[in-house]
Amino acid sequence: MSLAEQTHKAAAVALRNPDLVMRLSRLGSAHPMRLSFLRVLFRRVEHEGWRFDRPVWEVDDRGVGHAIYRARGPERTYSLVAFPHDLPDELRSDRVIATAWDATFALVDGEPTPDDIERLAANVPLQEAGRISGKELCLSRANRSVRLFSHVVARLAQGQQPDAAEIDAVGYLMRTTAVYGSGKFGAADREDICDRPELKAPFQAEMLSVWLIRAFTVDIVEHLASVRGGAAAVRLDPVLRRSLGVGNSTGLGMAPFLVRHPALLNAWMTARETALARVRAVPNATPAEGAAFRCALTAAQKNAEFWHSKHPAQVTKLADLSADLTRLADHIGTGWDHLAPQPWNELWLWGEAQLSEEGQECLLALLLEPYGSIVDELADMLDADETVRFAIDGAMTVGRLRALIAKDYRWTTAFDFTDPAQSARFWYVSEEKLEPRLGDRRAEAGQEREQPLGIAQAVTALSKELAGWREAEGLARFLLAHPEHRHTVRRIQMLHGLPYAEIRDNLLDAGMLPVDILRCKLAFFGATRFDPRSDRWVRISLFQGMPYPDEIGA
Amino acid sequence: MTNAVTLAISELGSLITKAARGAGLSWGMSEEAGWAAEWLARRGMPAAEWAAVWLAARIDGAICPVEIGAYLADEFASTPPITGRAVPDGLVAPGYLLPFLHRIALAGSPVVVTTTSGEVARVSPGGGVEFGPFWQFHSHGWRLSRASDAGPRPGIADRPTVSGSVLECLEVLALRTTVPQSEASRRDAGSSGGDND
Repeated sequence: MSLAEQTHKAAAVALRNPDLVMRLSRLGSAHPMRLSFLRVLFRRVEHEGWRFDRPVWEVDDRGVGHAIYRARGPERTYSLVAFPHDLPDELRSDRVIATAWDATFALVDGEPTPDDIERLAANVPLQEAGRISGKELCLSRANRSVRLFSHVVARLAQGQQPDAAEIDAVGYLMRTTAVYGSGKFGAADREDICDRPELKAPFQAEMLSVWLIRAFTVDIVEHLASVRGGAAAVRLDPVLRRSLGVGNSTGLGMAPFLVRHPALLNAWMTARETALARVRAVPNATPAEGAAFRCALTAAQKNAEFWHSKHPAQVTKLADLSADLTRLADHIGTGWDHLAPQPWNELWLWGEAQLSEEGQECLLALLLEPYGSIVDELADMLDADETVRFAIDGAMTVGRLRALIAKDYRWTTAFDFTDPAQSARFWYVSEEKLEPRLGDRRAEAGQEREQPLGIAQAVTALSKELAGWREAEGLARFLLAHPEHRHTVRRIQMLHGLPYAEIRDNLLDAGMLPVDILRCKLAFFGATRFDPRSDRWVRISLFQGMPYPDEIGA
Repeated sequence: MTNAVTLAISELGSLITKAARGAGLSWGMSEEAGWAAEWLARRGMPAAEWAAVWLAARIDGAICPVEIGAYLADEFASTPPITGRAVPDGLVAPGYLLPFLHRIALAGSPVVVTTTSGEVARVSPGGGVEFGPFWQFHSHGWRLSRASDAGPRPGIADRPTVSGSVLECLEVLALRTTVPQSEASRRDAGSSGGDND
């Protein structure tokens, strides 16, 4: 009997309660796991035997030019066109207000022609100020980690390997500062490519871009070292090379995504929570599965050791994590009975009682590691058709809508929006770069242009308005009188039956930490080394410790 | 003035959503406008140009086809009989009604728009559109009914190319949803440290 059959026969374990899972502090403790998008990409290219090469490297001695990285799947080819630049230090900024970068990139659908290269060379370095076409899937850019980049070039040029401690301290040679896809700046629409199996899961084109960028970051340091050191220069040691990820620096621009794409968020969370429930329902743990879990735990402890942050909130979380992992390792060694029925459920229940949120969410990620056979197929659940139920059901009665609010949005009654502290913030878009920002309602101008991201407040206002309407009245008439509630009515109708669609917290509260939203999304990307630089700005690493494209299929 | 630009469909939808909000529509109605723009653009209709017209009229106090279309769809999408239902006169760029008539058509059979002179347009449950000889750029004496045939089939269109002047008009409206830069917003948005590390 297969593990999947055994699990189905065993006592089912319920999915966790959304009231617990969808709180900001818990979302802000999320860890990358088997269903993270870069892992999904990685499994596919391995399983399907994708081939990778670098057919073009036309980069001069200053490190300026272009290169092409080609990824050939079973049906289609994708090409990353990289444009390295010679950027003066004073122009280097990770912020969206930057106008120049150390390198810029486009992921092309297929192989670029010389005309494409010419067109991309005129536009990609400009990023938001340029245009790409439906032939491109992604537009992105990256900046150097100045300290590590310089160190590695200098050492390799001298025929020496870089200091491993320096590499561990930073973790990447370059960090991307934006990766745009899905129609942005003219790129291919998601709707036109989402039927391709390799792009069906979320952000697969973006993950492929970043993975190929990682290869570029090593190639460019080796190129510059060779220019500087000539025959004395050496290539980067494979072990050190593997330990380098590609960084990412991001801010509030990423935060509203999870609020604006609730059906997608529901799909991600449902897949992950289903995976956890399946593992908890596994009737027995084999020695191999136990060993795989221990191996994952050891890797998590090592990761925690190298995971640094100076941000006070993250320092506390890291301390919690390290302590929890030690406690977990002790419990595995002494208290946990792996021969007991449903041993992983036992371990999970112990973790719920003994570990912090940080430790519990890490335990979730660890539990999935030994169980690819029952977890990995859930990657097919990660996407969602967001057009379903977009059209408002105007025949629904006021009474039915009230019932939906009572059932699905009871969590909003925990907030008191007459308290100024609970609506202290407002989300807006800055005129300067059309990027989301978070303002202080009392101190900053612009709240009349507030973005509709305060879901709890909007539902509270809608409930108050509905109170004056007859139960049997149709919503068509209500919305004719109150078009200002149309957005909220649509959301409530659309999300009924999607329990993990809403962040069940007040996103306008004075104490709300936007980095919690960022961490949730970045964990689903597969990001590690989450390092907040403020309460709304963060650096992370992607693909660290994972193979490079040329190690998979050259 | 900027040159003509070929837009992604979702890019156009996002721009029209923001422009509609900038023109004073509610967020929910602005979403309808963006959705309708994408629907029209996928069928090769001049969604951006039409939007520029009705948005300008809306700012001047006119009723707009998106609001009327959404209300019609709210009322009739779940109730098949619509025969004789009148469309308000004087709607400019009434092509923006078509996506909402599609929603109504999804309840069963094609929706036909007629005047006393003859047929204006028909929309099938499959999303196809056929313009009749009495199609005009303003609604006048229009009434809705249902047809019993299958209705027209939808075509496939290229991405929309939008002239610089129309794009500029829409972007100006879209900018009305944004907040001018302040010291606080710049300071709080980024890292508390530098990026040359």
